[in-house]
Amino acid sequence: MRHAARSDPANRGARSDPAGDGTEPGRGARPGRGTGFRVAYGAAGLGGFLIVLEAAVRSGLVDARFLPPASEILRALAAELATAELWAALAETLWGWALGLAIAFCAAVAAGMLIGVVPGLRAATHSTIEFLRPIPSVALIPLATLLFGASLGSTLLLVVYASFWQVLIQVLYGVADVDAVAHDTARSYGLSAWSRIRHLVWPTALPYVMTGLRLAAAVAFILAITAELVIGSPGLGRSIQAAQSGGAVTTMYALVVLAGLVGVAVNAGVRAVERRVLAWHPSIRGEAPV
Amino acid sequence: MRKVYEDRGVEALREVTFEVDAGELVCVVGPSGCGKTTLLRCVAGLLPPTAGSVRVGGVPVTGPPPRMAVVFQEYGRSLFPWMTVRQNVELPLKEKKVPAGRRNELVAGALAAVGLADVADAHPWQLSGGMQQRVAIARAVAYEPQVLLMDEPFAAVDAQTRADLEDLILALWRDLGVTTLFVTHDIDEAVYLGQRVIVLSGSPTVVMEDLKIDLPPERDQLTTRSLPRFADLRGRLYAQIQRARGDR
Repeated sequence: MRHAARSDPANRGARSDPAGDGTEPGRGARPGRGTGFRVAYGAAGLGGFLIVLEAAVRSGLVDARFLPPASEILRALAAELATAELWAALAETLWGWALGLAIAFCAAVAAGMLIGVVPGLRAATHSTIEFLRPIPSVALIPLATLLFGASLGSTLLLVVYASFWQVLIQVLYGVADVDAVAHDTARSYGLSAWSRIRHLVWPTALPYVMTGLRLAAAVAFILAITAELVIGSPGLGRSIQAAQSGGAVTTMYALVVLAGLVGVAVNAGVRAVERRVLAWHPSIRGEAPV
Repeated sequence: MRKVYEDRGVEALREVTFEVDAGELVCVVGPSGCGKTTLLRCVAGLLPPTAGSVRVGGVPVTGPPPRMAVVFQEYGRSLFPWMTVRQNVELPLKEKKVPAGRRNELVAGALAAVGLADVADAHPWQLSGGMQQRVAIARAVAYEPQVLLMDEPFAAVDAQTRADLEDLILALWRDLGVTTLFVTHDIDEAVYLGQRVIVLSGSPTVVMEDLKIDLPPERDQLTTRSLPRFADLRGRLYAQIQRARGDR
């Protein structure tokens, strides 16, 4: 997850991909030439995929008991969307997701800034972080069950644990990325430690923070569904489990599709926030019109 | 000012002693790698000297002095891209707790002085390199410094822009009477701008020469540069620098 060094000393713009996860912040969704084509291609691809699914079942290639035709899944989804139970479950899931993500985000930003700014703290915490970070959140399911049972608490524990590290690591990278010349500038103009954090360290870290948030949002949603599915905390995951054990295979698929759609919406929402907050950043602003 | 500085066993500056009078514009030239930037960072209070001291107005420098502004070569890194031009210029004044009314006056005045009044709400990265360096100069001017340090500020802009910016610096210096220490690797620029030019030797660095530039105070890109005396001074400095490089 190390990041590309900048090249041109007179231009801070050449930095790319603070995430190191292969996705550049904001790219791909920027409006401009070719947007219409991209949407059309995307729609055509999705339509083709549904037709293939439908055909695979209708032709008898796949047993309809295990994979109902796409048209039936969508019909079941529409029927589910008309019930109050589904919306209640969806609200539970989103609430667990949002609350857990918010707690993890705030804690990770505070901890990351502190570790990054206080000299020596990074070296002192490095080994602990590297030990705790790879522990899969799902390994904490027995602990969550023990502590909270099948409740929101279990969901929160898993969600917070999983997303905390995503944000923390990015904040640490971001804080370490403060430019030497910018730092000299801040010092020579007499900026206090607090002003340097507010006007230099935080904006420098922000692209990383947003990447961390985007990764954390996705992971948090996965863990929210997992907790409901495995522990039985209320939410979309538990509804999926219930549909499966009740033999309602089509409904089960419909709920899975819905979970997927929510995941897409979550990602799109975070990207929109990212584009707003980082309008000045080279990855968002594009080529400067000079 | 007197200073000896050694860094990690590397002796960047052996013994560099010189004085700059209040209101003077002094250029520092030297071969590349002679520690010009190190010298400037020490003067700016960003780097502690190993021995000796830097004094501004008789007061020893232990950290960045309150009424000193620095213009760095790397304007793209020195300006904050998340702030507009106005916010960049205003930030040090907010930190100094300058009241809002006076602050607006200073920012507007400084931006007008560098010819950027109409792009105050743009972001630095929307401007050309020369304009970005003007923003950095405006930030320094608005700060109302007693001492202005410039570290090869025009090394990364094209020749025409460079000439314009040199004249801008001369005009600002004349208007504000601010003591200016201008580090450059360009001999012509040093002769054109300076009242005095200090020549540094190659590493380990000492002052090789402290040359008074006895050109008329009113300078002009065309006439000043074509004076026989300009050629004399330039030739003399060039020979010095060549010697400095040969000594290494």
